[in-house]
Amino acid sequence: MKAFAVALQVEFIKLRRTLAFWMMFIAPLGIVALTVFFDLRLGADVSGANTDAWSTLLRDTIGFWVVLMLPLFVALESALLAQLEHSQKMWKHLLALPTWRGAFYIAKLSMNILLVGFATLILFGGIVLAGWLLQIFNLRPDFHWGVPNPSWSVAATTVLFVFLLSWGMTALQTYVSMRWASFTVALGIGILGSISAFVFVRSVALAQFVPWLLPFNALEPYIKQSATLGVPLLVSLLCTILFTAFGMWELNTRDVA
Amino acid sequence: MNYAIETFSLRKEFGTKIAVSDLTLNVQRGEVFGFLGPNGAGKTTSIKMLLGLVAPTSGNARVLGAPLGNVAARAKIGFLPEHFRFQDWLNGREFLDLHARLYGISNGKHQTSIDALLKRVDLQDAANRKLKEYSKGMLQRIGLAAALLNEPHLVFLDEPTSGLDPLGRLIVRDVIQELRAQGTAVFLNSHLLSEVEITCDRVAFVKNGRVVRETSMRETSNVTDVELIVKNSTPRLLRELEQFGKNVRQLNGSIHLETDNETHIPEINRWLVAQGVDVYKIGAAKPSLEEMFLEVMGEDARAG
Repeated sequence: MKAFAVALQVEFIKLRRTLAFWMMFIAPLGIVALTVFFDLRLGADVSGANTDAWSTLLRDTIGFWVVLMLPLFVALESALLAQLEHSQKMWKHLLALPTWRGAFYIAKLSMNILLVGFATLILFGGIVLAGWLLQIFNLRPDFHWGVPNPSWSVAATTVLFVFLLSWGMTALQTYVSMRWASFTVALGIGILGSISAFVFVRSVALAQFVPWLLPFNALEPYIKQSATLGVPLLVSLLCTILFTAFGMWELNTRDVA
Repeated sequence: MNYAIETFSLRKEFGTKIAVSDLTLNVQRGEVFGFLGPNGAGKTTSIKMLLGLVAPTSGNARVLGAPLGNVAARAKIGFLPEHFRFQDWLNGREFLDLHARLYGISNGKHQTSIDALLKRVDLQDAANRKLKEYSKGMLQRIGLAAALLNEPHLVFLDEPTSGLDPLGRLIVRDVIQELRAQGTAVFLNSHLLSEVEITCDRVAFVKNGRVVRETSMRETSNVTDVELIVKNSTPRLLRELEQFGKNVRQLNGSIHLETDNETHIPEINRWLVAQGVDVYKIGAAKPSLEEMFLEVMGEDARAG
């Protein structure tokens, strides 16, 4: 446990001033900005006395996040974190240190999960800030900003489930990024995952099993496709366990070049 | 004998390629051990096996009394890899802080160690500068500092003087002497044979993945090779020199003979002067490490 704590601490030190760190802000805030722009320009759903601007903003932003950005974000962050070791040829130095190899793997995965968690939190904060600014500047007087339906607590739970359901693909992408030194392989698989998420997004059945699409299930309160969260959560957990086990085994038995 | 490193027929194959065929060697505690060989001789793979980075195909070894890869033993090992690249977005102090944490050194103690080591490698003024602003020599020195953070009992230095100016080399040489004085074993892999000659107690020559010769750099031989340069050497002079030793021969313009005692050298000088021979040079000729290296490696060394 101490080895893991030290390895995680070291991951934090290494993260300073890196692109991986800044991406945690850029990606979610970019999606918020994109959604606001989209809703301001084309947002017929948002306007009108009977529509709920908050819910629409939450649905569209989280929707864009889980389908368009999150799979790519996870792939990019995993690759960037692993490249800290691959590109600097740091493995031989790192693994010669008196720390159990598995601790490095778990620390890398945890850092990745934390980055996704913080990014999701920033996304939520960004939505609230964007909605508040839209009200303050009254850019679209036709928008109706009342109490959101579903409520704020449902919105917060949705964001929490987005995070929990992203663990599976995060574990998968971490394994790929740690196993292969090539940035292209890690990102390529991430892009394939993103495309599969986009293609299968309309299939309730597949959305419960495709790792890159699992977070989409959290949007149920907004899109009402009669999806349940039990199976996706289980799949996410199984993916996490499976790919973490693969990754740790591979790192533990690796001949370091 | 309590060895820092003991290996028994260590072998490593990568597919059909044999990187190390049969590595058997011992390194004593407190000894500075040079590991020499041409490129591709298996030196780096050997070091990686000893550090637990690469699993041997067969054979076994003990490092600081523990099996290969033992985490507790690794806590007492320092390592400066060849071509070590750094997290260059960190500054020197942050870089050492990161390593101190990985070595499990307590926070209070590691700040003191970091300050002392920065001073030791003459980088205290550059401690807060980012590593990307460091010169190659400075990077090598901060890498050396990182390898010493844990007060190691055994240090692996892979080309430690690579890229260093004469002052930097002197620092490395002094650090190695200090380590030896503290009883720390140093396993040195370097292509700079002059550095190895100055710093090492013993060297091993590796060829095709096996140790082909080990030699002490400190031991005194019973046989002294005397080298003479005189104005006119004649076959008669060579014959008469046999009264002082054996194997008298002419090599590259100088005369060589083997005596059993260095005290014969002034006697030879006096005798030559009495014979009216003009003496330009006389002294004990010790083969340089480079000569030994070329002799052991033969054509491989020239090709390497």
